[in-house]
Amino acid sequence: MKVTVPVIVKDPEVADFKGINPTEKITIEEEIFLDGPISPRVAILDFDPESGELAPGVPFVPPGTIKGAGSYRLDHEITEGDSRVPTRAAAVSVFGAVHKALRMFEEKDALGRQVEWAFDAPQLLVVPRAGDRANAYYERESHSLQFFRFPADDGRMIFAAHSQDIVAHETAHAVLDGVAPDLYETISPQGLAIHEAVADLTSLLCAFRCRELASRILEQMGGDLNHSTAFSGLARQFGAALDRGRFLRDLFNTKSIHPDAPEQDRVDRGSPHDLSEVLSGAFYRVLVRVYDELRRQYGARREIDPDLVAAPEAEHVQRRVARQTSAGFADRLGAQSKALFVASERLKRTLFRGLDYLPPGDVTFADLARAVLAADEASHPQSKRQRQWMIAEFIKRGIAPDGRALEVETNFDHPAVADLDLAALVRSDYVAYDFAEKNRDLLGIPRRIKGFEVRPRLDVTKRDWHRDGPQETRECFFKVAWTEMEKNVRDRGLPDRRRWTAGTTLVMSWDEGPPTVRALLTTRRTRTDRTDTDRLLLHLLDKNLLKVDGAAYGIGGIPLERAVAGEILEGALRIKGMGRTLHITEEGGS
Amino acid sequence: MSDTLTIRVYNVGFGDALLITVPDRDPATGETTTRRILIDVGNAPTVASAEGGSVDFFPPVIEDILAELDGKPLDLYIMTHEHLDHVQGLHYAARRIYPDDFQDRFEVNHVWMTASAADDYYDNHPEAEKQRLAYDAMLKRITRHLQRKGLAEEPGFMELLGINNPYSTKDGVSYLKTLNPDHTAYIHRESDLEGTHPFREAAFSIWAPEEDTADYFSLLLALDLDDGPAAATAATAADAATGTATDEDPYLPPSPPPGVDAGAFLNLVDARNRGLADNMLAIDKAANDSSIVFAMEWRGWRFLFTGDAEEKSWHKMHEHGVLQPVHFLKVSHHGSHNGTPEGEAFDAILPEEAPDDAERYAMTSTWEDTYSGIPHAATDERIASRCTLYSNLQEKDALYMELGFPG
Repeated sequence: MKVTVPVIVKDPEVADFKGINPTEKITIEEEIFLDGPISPRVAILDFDPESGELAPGVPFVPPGTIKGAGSYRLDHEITEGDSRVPTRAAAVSVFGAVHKALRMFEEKDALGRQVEWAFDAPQLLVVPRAGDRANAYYERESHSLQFFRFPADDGRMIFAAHSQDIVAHETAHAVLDGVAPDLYETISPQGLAIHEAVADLTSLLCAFRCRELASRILEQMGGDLNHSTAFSGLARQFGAALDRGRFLRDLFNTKSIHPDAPEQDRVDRGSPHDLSEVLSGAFYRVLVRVYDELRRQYGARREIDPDLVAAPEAEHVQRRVARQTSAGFADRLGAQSKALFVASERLKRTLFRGLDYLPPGDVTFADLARAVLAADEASHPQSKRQRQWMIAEFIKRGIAPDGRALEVETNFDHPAVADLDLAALVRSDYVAYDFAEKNRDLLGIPRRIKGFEVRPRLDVTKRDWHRDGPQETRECFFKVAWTEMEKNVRDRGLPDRRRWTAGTTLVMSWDEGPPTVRALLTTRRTRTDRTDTDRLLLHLLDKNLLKVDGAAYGIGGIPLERAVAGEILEGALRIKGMGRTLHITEEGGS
Repeated sequence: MSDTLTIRVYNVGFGDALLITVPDRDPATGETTTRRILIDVGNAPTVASAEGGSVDFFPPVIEDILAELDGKPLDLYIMTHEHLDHVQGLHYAARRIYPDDFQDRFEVNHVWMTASAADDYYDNHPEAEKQRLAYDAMLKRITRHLQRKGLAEEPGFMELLGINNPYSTKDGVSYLKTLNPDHTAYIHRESDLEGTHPFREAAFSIWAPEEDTADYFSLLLALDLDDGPAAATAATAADAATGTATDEDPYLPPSPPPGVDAGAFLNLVDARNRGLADNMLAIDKAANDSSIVFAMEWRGWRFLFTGDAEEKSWHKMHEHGVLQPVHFLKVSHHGSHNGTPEGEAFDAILPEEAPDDAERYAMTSTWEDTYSGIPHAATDERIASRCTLYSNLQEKDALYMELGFPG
């Protein structure tokens, strides 16, 4: 069944970009739709922030024909110049925005599958008016996205749920938690920063899919993305109202963890929010390079260099833009808009596919960088230019010391996998554990480690883009994780040891013929990474947020909202739900 | 006459009652007078049972205090802060143990009460008043919510609601104000102590609370307590005072809309109110942090009495540079992890290397199975690593534990 819903693109009160509809139509396909809006995977629960009562769901109007799309009955559509967004329209908009971001992850050339949530339930619960705070967040424990509201200096009420950027950002947290659940439990500040950076980049990519607005902004900028434009800034309305500089986080930056970086570019290595700018800034810079090069090539009416993007991929993007926009829009696209749309789709599949290759455990930017590069090389060995630019950017920003640290062998034979029955490996835990035990060396599991955990295997078919057209590739993902110990920061009664998680991802090709290794990635934790964790824990202690054992619970055994829970097991500290720090350490940031 | 200062910590269950006996030499005359300070006297129930808050603790304690006074007036009574487990004992004695003549038996020359207990305190401290009103309103909402859900009598909720209910504490505080209204001083860090006590030799310094208690209030989390502003307004002060919600207004759990799993929905509803626990703790801490914390110096010894001061109060004391090494510590807040400071503040009062050869001691008045991890083993270990720690749990049947300090 399909439904078409209007999603807020820009603040209807803002007079900029006149003539552009403040909403875009998003068509969603799901098994069923109910009043709410509610689908099997997303439910909008619109609690009235004044009374706390659940507002009646917005009525679903089924499609008139089997192939047609239904709608949600709105008493008032959002139009330009509206001073208020009606609550029903807002509920429908957030539903559409969540699905839009979700779909972007799940497309055939990205994750290529329906994402499972990190919690054991099929539905993400979305609360568009969660209460009065300058915040918005994803919370695994309550299966929810919560969007708050707060008064701006001028007295206007700002609703986080009205910003597509913010909705995409929080949806990305939920999706990422399903794909890489260890990031929510990590003690690595860079691991947490990956959550933030991916969420910020998802917001950006969603914004680029507001095609008509994107084109218009690009025109206004003279096609130059090397500025802090509305694209690269996040949550404009939110950030401006909070008076925290122009935007919450600006992706156009030179932030770095390189020890020799200029003082003004260096970030606090213990702060996930600060660190995230390094990673998102690196990807944004690569995007701009790809965009600039494509714009030059489109402008010169040259054939697109396959080193950069395969021609069928660019054509596919063009067709998609034509489908998503008003008649004639796609035909009138200039070189810069074409370049933007292609470059952003290229980044989307590179980044999102890399998430699947990420090893489980306490990962760092370097682990993600290797995963992204390996996933891209394994699937698109010919278009290597973007990879070269990424490597240069990662080194420049101190994510890796040199190119060798980012090398991962891809697409090779290995006797351990050549005779593997992948169907049995995916289906049977017994087979999976047996494989891991017999191949400890391949998987990097130290002999001294007694127990390890094999994660559910994945059988995924993705779309690759080659010179002669799209190609379906089947991959099997095998992930194993184990617990390691390290020295803990000696402060305020913490035990002298702590647990961290190491892991390996083995990706195997599952096409005709014997399986081969697409890539093999294991976490690499350095002394600097341990120091960074010390710094993070000290931050949490200073803010009185890290609560160990019973201290993490209030009256009636209720877990404290403003706390990260630690527990001491056999004399070693273990942190649970560190991902919550992303929304409890500072109001207004998520 | 004994030349030893004694600190007697009574076993009152979950609460505090301390009697300090000081041989106080007048430097002008060389004459020594035995003077006594009584701190608090109160208790409150704990999670495990009502036992920790039993009034049965009071009669022998009061009897012992009166016996120690031996018909003489108490020199100084100190109410550290307005919490039930610190204020209800003397009021109980006046109403139930000696209903006819307690004030005749128990005369007090001087009284110290925490500054914010003064009747006109909030008139003069508008920011603190604003915060307190917000806290009171939140407490009312939470109380009403828990009553409607039938949780107000549940372990954990009951204790904290009881301790923090201004109406249940009010009677105790009001009674303490009648002990000697003409010689009652409302104390804060900047207070001038001249004329507020009779001591000649023992010297006092006030480390806390701040004069303006606004600093002790934390940001409350927004809650969705299914009451809304209209219902909250309807929850009158009388409701909170009597501790009852009307029968016509029972709690009806919200129902999920069709298509949403009921378990997941109710889990979300609960999560939306999870800040309730944070807010209750914030309310509790704000009052604890208003505790009078004072040091008494006597013949080379420094004794520290802390009430229930928690992190914010310790932070302020550290910030103002008042913390100094002590020989005796009354462990704050019944030994909770929040009651004893961490890091530099802890080192300031109990440095790893003792500044002199004198022994150092700490005493905890606590009770088992209390809310929020009291007593707290790691905190006990930390304190015990710097000094000899005694707890009333070591001899639960004893009326008191006592330490003597030779002069």
